[in-house]
Amino acid sequence: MQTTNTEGAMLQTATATIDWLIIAPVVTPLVAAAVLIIFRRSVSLHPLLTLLALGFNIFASYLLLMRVQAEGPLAMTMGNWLPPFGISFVADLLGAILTLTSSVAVFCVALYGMGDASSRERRFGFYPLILTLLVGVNGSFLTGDIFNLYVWFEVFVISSFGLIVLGGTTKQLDGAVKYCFLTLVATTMFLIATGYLYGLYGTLNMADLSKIIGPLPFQGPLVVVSCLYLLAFAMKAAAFPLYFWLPASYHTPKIAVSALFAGLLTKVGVYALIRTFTIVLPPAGQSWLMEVMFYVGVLTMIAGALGAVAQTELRRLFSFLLVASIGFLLVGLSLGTEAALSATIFYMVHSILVMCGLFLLAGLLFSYRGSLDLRTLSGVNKDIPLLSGLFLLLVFMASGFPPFSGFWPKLMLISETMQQEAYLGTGTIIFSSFLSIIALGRAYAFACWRPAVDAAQPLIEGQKNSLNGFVRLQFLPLILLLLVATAIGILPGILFDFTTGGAKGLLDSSAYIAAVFGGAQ
Amino acid sequence: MNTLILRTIVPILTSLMVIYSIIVLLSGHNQPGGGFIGGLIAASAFALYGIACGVAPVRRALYFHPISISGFGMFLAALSGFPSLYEHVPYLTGLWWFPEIAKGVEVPLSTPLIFDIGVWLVVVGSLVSIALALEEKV
Repeated sequence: MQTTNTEGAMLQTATATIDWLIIAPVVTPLVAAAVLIIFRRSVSLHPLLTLLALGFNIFASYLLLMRVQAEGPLAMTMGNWLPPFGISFVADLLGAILTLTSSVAVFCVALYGMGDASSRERRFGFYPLILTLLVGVNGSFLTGDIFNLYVWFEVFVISSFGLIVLGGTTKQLDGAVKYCFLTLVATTMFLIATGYLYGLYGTLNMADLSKIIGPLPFQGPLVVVSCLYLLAFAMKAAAFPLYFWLPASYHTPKIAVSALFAGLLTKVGVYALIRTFTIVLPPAGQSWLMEVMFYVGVLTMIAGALGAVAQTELRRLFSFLLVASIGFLLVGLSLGTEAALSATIFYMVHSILVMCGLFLLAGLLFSYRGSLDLRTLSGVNKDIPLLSGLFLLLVFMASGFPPFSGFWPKLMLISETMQQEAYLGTGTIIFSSFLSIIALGRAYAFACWRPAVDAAQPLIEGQKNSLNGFVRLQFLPLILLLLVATAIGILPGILFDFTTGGAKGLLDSSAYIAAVFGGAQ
Repeated sequence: MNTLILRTIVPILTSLMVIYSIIVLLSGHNQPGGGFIGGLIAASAFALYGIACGVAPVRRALYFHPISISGFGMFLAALSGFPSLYEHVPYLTGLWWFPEIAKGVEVPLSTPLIFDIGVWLVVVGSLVSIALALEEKV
């Protein structure tokens, strides 16, 4: 073998085998998805292969995180081309943490899908689609090129289109149309903004953009581009006033799919906002645009929490809580200090795990009770005490009670808003947490403590037995998620180290730039 | 579209189009062409055959299910990056080798070619499955 004679345009340093960790979280699920598509008829093979690939993915993401923690950002430029021209993958702490968390969340959903996805749905590609969704999500977290980020957005968006219509009922198609339309508008705006960016600066490599735009003043076309990015990503993240599509569509697909969407998709929007307004467009991150984002975040939190209180359908209630959590993340990002960014990253990890958990819980409730309407859902405490206990745990986690994972980032951000004298933020965080407690507490009390309201509703004995086998297995992913979230809550210091490092890396992009261009200099 | 003229000409046309699509695929690295455009040509050949002679013969001729073909293409494209691991260069680096099949005749083979074949299969598989599904409905 020999390489072509284009040495001048290519990197000359050898790539260590260990550096391949950076593409493992993307290539592993991609190859696994391809294999599953080849053997699309052997549906009994699908769950096992998926879990195997995802298990390996978690392992590789963990190794990647450890390596990034030890040695700083890691970069690889595809095809051996020099960085601004080749497409770079860059893993900094933010990307590596989110890659690991999303791999864990998808693993749990795949495990849940073993009992939930029918063989018809498997033949229609349930497992390949969740794998390609993970490919897109992990690719977004790891890419160092803003056009490539758009491509990964498309990858997971297309996969999510496939997943959202998996059952093919009218209600699902209705939800899918709302979801698809809004997503298409958002990604188109993203593409337009990226086109402008390329026209202005002639490069799309994030590290290169950071170098060029860093010293520029925030004025002229840069403002337009930044506003477009804010609009596109805020729409994708379901921020006020463009959040209405989320509660209107997330309760329609299969519950495992809802869990996946709730855990991951909006977070990618928030991730893109964080990445663009810190590394890619540093001047925008210090401008009045952040004030806009602050108010957007405040309004999102209030709208989400109020919406949650008003809902009677459990999945819609959780969707509104998800919107409220997005508001929290936006407030954190808009403050832009190290502590605030650290709290934001921490809360993202917490939110991925807990939102996924809440929706899986809804799935378990549905499989026992056949309804998620709080007017009829009842008597869970007496019939299925384990489920009731898990629900209570999730209520504590999602509303941010002290020993659990939601508490720490909220505490950090509240103290940071007070230091920044953004008292509106402080008040809103407390107010929206308070409303979340009311919404979740009410849901818990109705579903679990209230004696069964309808005599016909508790499961018939035979049905109970037939369900028992897989329902017990389905407890496993939820328990797994809750274990991880509880561990984070009890030992916040471990995650805190990563998030602080991640926040530092976002505010000072020199290590990020050096990682990308290091091989070329 | 069950006309005699079309049914007579289509087998020849289809084979010509598939051969041409492979020529386009192979010339793609240095000249206009490549996996995507080649795949489009091949997919339209199969779609045309389906219009003239019905969907079942196309499915029989392809032997594998079109979706499986596109899955295999994706697999091949993803795998084409892995020889770089052996050479200690980043993922998807273009590596070439020139086996001599006869005296003085070298055949340039490369990992981009494998990638392109993968793309060709993905395009053929996905477009043929869409086209055949639409033709079945009509």
